[in-house]
Amino acid sequence: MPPRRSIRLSPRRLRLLAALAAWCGVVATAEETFDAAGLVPAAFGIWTDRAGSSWSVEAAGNIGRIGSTMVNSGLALLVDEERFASYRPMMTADGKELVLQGLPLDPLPGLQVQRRVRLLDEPGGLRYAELFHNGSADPMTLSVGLATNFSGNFKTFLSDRGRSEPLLLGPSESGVVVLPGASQSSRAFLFTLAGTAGGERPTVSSQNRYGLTFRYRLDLAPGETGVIVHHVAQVAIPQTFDRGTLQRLGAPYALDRLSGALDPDWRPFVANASESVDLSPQAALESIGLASLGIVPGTADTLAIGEGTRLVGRAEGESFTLTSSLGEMNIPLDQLAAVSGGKHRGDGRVRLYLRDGQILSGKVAVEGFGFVPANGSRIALDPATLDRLVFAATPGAKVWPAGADALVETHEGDLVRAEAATAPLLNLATPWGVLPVSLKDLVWLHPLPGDAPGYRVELKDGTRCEGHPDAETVPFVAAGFGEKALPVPHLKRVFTQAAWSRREEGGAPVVGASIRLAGDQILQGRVGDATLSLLSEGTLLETPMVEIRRIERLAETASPARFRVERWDGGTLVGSLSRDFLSVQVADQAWRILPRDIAGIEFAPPELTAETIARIDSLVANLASPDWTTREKATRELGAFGYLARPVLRRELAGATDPEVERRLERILSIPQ
Amino acid sequence: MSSSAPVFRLPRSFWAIALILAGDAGSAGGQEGGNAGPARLAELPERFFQVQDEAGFLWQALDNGALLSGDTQYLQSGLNLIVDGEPFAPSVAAASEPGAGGERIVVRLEETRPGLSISRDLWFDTRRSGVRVWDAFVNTGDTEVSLEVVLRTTYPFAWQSLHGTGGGVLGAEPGLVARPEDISLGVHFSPSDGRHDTFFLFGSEKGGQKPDLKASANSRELIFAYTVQVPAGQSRSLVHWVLQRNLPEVSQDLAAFAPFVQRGQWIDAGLDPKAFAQVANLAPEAFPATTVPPARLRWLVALNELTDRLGVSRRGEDLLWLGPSNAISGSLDREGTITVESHLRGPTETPVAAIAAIRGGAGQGTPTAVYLRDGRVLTGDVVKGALRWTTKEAPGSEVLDLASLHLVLCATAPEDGAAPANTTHFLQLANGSVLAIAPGGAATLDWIAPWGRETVPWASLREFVRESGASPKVRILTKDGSSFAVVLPPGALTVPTADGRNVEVPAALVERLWTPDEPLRLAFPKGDWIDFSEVPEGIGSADGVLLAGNHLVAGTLAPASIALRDGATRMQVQSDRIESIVRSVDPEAPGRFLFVLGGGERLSGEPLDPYLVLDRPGGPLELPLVQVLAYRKALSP
Repeated sequence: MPPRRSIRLSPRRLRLLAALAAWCGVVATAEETFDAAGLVPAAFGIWTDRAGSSWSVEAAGNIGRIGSTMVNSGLALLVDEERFASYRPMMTADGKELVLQGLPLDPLPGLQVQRRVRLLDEPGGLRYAELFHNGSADPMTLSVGLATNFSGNFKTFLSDRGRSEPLLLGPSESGVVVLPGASQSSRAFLFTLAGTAGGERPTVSSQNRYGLTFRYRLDLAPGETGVIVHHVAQVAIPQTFDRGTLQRLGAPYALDRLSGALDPDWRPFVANASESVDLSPQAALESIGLASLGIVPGTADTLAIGEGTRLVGRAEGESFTLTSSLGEMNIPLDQLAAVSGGKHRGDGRVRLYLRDGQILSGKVAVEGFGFVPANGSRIALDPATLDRLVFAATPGAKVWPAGADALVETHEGDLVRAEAATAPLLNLATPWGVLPVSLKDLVWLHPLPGDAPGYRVELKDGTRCEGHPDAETVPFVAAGFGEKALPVPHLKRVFTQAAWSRREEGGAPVVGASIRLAGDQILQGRVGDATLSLLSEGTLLETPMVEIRRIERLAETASPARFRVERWDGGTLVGSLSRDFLSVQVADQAWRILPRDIAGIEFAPPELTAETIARIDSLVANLASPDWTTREKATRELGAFGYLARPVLRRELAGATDPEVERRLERILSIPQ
Repeated sequence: MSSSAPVFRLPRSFWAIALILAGDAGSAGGQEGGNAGPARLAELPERFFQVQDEAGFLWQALDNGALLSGDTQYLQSGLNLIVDGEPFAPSVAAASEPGAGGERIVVRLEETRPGLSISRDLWFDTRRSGVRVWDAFVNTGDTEVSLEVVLRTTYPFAWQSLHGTGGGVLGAEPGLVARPEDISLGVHFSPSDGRHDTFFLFGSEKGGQKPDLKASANSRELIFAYTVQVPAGQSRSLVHWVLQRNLPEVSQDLAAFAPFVQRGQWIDAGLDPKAFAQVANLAPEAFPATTVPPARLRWLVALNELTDRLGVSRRGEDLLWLGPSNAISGSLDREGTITVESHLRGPTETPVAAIAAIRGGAGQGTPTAVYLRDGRVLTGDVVKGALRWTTKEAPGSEVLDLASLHLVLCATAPEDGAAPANTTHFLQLANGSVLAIAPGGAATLDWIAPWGRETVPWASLREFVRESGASPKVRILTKDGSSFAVVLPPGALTVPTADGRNVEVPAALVERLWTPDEPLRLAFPKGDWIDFSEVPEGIGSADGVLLAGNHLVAGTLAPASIALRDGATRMQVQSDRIESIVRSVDPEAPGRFLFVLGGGERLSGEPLDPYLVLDRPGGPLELPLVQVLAYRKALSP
């Protein structure tokens, strides 16, 4: 099971949570809420997409049968095997999307379910979004089923990677095509069930070839929301079933390509089509550590042979002499946490798990190595033919290895303690500039999602960037081995203590500007241009950067990219950047960023001058004036300061004792900016 | 029938060959350099291949040339050809299948009767979503013949209504008659039937013979009837487009026809201009005058991208394009020069006659882009010279205001698409400029590949493109088929242009590079390939690996053997026996690979070495095995 992404409470998530809470809370009671949301009562009928496929969607969102199609009832939603029923079907005003609010499910109090079914003109078919919100105080683990009954026995089903009748979709598989039996329709049904880049994969169960159920597991913390997005299309039956044909068949319907049909606010919650499998550094360390041996260290040493044999006792021997690609090292037995022998590899190479967290592999020489089970008989051991030996656990919580500045992981599976070197670990070449990465600044470095070549680094200042190392080797000081140069292809991950204690929530404070870039990348730097040139409806507007609070990309696909610029005084501008690129100072280097790569920029608040602070203080004092006109004037003028005055006003509000001043400050702060 | 049609008298045996060749000349004018035209088939299949167009509609041709809506039961038999009461019964066929490397998907059929040769040429235009049906009749006899040509279309279900152009309902009583303004007929089904509509384009406001229409009482059969006079030794033809559409309202048909008919002219009907005069149902004026073979126009990559996006086509006259439904024909004064100044190149003077199109500011402040006929694009301000426009049938000319102008499309010309001398590549920048560059044979380019910095000769580069989206990088395609993401070093590239200058280009602005006269390969659809079978044509080398993230690296296995483990069993496989390696897609065994050896042997196991070492011209390349999805070796001939 891939690790689940934890939920970060970004402003966007909070907005969606508020919106979901709104529909969850009022949908059953307030008719006008639907109207306010632009929804109208649903009209059910037959939809035809541009590919010529006809669809009949019923009140619960399942597909009804039309003519000779092979589906009798498609994609019925089952939540913990309870069938979804709609309370009051609505649809969007354009008639293209059904919004089906679920009736409460008795076994799952507090769970709100909504189905949204949209007819996609391009590329055709129906896009489903199943929204779940855990409104209870307890965590929930849901089984989300999508059941389809066919009008007769289907012939078979194949994954988009050519696997016949898979029980579980693999990481590279995103859907299945179901081929009709001889007497059925001449079209196949293509179900797209997961994103190509990552996300939860469903299991697939077949019921005597007349039914198929896809099941997802969805974990929801209290107050958490999860979305499962999927798609169904009718396609011509391919003439061949090789991987290429199947991949091309499914490509137009890839969930990633249908992102335009998704509400952007849902995307962070989509469980089955994440942009990437975001493994946390802690989880990554866990996955390569002792846990990977499948034996939990106990109070005594454990010798494992094969799947079943587990002997408990005491290992004995002299120090291990390890000869690895890094050099030679002497390791006393009491520093070992486990030994994974060469039994399975057959080439004599042994992997040693050290108690300080390192994992080192190579040829091993050891004198008097053996295992004494509880009965006292001794078994002589040879590391080269050993399966696994796990030493007794040491008491105490897991801690970051003392003295380690970093742990460097190689593709051979080694995890080596590294000490900070004076030179940067590497220079990461990105499309916009070169980022020097040193151990002191690093949180962690890891491969790109899906093991694609390239790296992603996360720095302590909040920078998160992808790129290629501009070097053939990575220099570092390996504890016990000295200075080493690791060939770039051998480098897998680098962890620092900051990664060990990393929490996903919260971010680095904004200093200068925080620039969000395509691919969930973030740069912390200073915008080098003194002014922003914005082309707004044919008019060129120059705005000093210091007056800008935030820049937000308006639509991902617009060309040229359009932005909304918010000023500190509350004013807004909309338009496209007139310059070819934005200059940004990052780590003392000038980076050039194309406007289309920018998702948004947050600027740090400018420091207020003493004069401005004095003026604000004076206006705040005027809020307590006995003269109503003076109070009103001060209120208006403070409001005109916009965001800049807010920190001061909040501070004043916290200390306010005059109810009139308090009321007026609250009024100013409540003005949306 | 036009009496000005040329008169040829040729032996009968000539026509059998000429019909197929004529088709080549007509449709295959668009063949990409070096690609073969339709291949003659040894025997006629009952049904030809199925084609799905870009709007999703399915098409298929029967052995008698009738059109089907593929496996869908919507269009049972479209434009079934019957000549003088006898169904078309071809005996010779040629076809260019989808994926066969030809640019166009074509089926050609031919029947020879005493004194008459009949051919049908079907062009499946997937991009515009329609099928062009061209029926040609060659009188191989000694006297003029009058042919009764019937095109019969049948449906398995009754239609709801028939519509003329613009959506007006055509009544069947007392007889079904096309109105003078009708150039098309729409067959509309009830939305509750869930069947899409069919539209037949048969005419033009410029003139031509209109068909007599007939519809069966059960609303399932539709007939277009023509009487075609064919003088002895000459040929005449009929051309139609068939479209499948699902329009919210039938009255929106004109918008659907826009890619096919503009200003009364049939845009790119896939016919040789020599054939225009022989088309019975369209006047020669219904075809835009064009002086350039379409193949050459396609090398104007940047301009084509713009016109495709706007849905307009260049033709034999200048056009002032104001919007999707507003275009004025006229002429741009070709005299003189203009000077375009950009901050990269400085001022560049160009003759107006060398301009293929001009995109103005459209009142939005967008910088002017001047598209030259040689493929270059100059962006910036026009600092010297003016462009004068004369509207047809209007007195005098006016100076074009480039700040408010949308687009001027100049008439096509023979020099279109001919790259400047010495050009080895075109380089496009993010601001829309396109430079014709000519780095010398020894010139090199640096980039940072996933495995480190590389220096490569420009000459080895075929294409690159800056990918936007989730992970913006530059994806390169080299002449050996390698294609992977690189990062260009920051700073500026000094690029020698074809006109002998050196231009400094910020690496951050580099957008795309391509080779003249080569089709673009990197505009392939996204999707994660996990096997070479999924890699689009033209990418990937005969020998090499496919890495996660759609990276392809040319090379051969460096080690003499590879050690594999299958459970407790260890095997050693000689590298020279390995024909392919494919990673398992089984989620339970992600580290396993299937090895296919010479002679068909197959082995499955986990390689022991965590790296795959590839021999490349620049030296061995070590690749982490976790990145490797597949390997293939070129098969010996």
